[in-house]
Amino acid sequence: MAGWASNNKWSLFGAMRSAAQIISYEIPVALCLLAAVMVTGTFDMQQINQMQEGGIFHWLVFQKFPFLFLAMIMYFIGSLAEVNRTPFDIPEAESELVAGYHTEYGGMRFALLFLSEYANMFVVAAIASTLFLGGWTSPFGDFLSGPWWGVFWFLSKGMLIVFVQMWLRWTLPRLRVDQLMEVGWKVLIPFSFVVVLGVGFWVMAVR
Amino acid sequence: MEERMTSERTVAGFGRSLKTEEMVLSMGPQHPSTHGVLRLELVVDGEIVVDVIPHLGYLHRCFEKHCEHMTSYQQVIPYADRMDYVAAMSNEFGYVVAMEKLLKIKVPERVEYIRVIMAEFSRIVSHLIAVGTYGMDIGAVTPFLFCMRDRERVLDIFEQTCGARLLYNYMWIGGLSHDVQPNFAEKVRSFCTYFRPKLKELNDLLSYNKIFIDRTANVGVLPADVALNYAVSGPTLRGSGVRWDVRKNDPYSIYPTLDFEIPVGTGAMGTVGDCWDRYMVRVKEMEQSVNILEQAIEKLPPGDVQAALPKRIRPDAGDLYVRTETPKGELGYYLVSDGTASPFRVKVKSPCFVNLSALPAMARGSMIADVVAILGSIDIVLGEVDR
Repeated sequence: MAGWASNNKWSLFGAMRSAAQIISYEIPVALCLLAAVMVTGTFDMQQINQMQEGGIFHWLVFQKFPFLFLAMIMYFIGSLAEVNRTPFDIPEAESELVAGYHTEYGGMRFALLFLSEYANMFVVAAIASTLFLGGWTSPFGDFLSGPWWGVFWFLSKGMLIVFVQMWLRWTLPRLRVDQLMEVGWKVLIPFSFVVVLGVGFWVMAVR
Repeated sequence: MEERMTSERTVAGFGRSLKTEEMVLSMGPQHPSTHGVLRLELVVDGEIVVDVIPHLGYLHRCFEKHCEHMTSYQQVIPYADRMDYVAAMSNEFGYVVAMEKLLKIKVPERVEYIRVIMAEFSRIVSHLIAVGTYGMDIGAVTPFLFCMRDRERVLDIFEQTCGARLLYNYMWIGGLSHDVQPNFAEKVRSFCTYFRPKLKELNDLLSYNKIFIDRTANVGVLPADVALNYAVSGPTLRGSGVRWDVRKNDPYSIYPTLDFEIPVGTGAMGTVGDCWDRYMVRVKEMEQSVNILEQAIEKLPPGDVQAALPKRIRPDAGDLYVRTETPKGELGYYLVSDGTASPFRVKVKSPCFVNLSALPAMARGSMIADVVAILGSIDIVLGEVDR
């Protein structure tokens, strides 16, 4: 919206790419989250988190191996695209679109747009750590757990994922817009369906 | 122009036909990846580029006209530095080779060796910038920082030799401004041993990266015959598989006595003449430059660094054209002397200008992101395009 409103052709491109990207990556991300929800049987994040208490092997990443592990990886890739990080940062692709949708923004308005980008990065990281990495629970069972340690574990898990996001951002080149769509539709979506089906049958069989 | 901007096409497929219009996108002169102040007028149909029209002249500073108003031939050299400012030594080299041919003098052998060493260093510096910024055009930042770190080593050697890091005014007509420092040979050798593993590191990080190959292979293909018709030169031509290098095909200085190879594009990742080939030719050329450095530093003879010259240089009336191989391609100087102490005419055939002319042929029909990749793979320096 911000890109469309600023009446700049580069911003327009950024906004169009952003819309296309979010539509195509929302699906695998949602499907991966659904896999976690199917295992826990609840949409309540607190309950999902409580079910993962008791050490690193109770975390959802290591449940129903390898389906939820795959789901975690795919959620991470999809979330990179959702928050416009390299290699999926084509909406703002600095060397192509100057700055994408926030080309025409400066000062506080630019700061707000950019802060929201970084806030988004932590949000997807926090969701990943809640759903797959045990959220506030300690990796060592009862050792080092408690309310304050919970804050510590939650933040450090989130920051670890943010760190990996930044690590990739400085290392990898950027995909082209059609290649990005290919990855989204031809790789991530089929695999996320496989994961959902696999987890579904597993849950059914165990019951 | 007007005609193209208003051209309309109809798209079928929605039961009724839709009228679409092409958009004119002005890329530059202030754009992060036009490598200077180049303006590209892109006619785009969505993300597809229908046409590219480069607009030049933002950095024109009348180099050739200035040369005619110099009071001596020597004064041209600092201006020649400022053409291809990332490989200034190579520009000086071409000019002094041309001047010495015009004056029919021979320079001491030590001078020739030091000049070749400097020219190959500047080739490494220029290719490091080309490769590093190319990585950044594609979106990878770390290779750029790696390249800048290695480039710093060479600049330190330059600084120690002549006091400047970018624009040297080091090669003078008939010799050099200073002799090299006593520890020069040792520094060159240590650079060679330092640099080879770094090239491998660069290959691991960028050249064989899956995403990088996806972005560059089969993109911006320039077939050999088209390349020859556009008269492109340097890595842009060799990327298309044409084995042409002035150092081998029309040798000057001491290049015939040195053993090195001319890498050409092979289409290892896609088609011959794509962006990846042009990129890889540069990486391989850096390897060859290190070979040349090692040989030249072994053979470096002792002696004087200035030939005996009259205080005022007055070549006989006449003209000549001399070409040399700079990192960007074939740099030609056409000098006309009327027998006075200042040049009558200095015409420069700049490789970047010629290579840039092939951009529309390569970029038509590709995507916007590809235009950036193709432009980066040509490796232009606007200081030389506009002069």
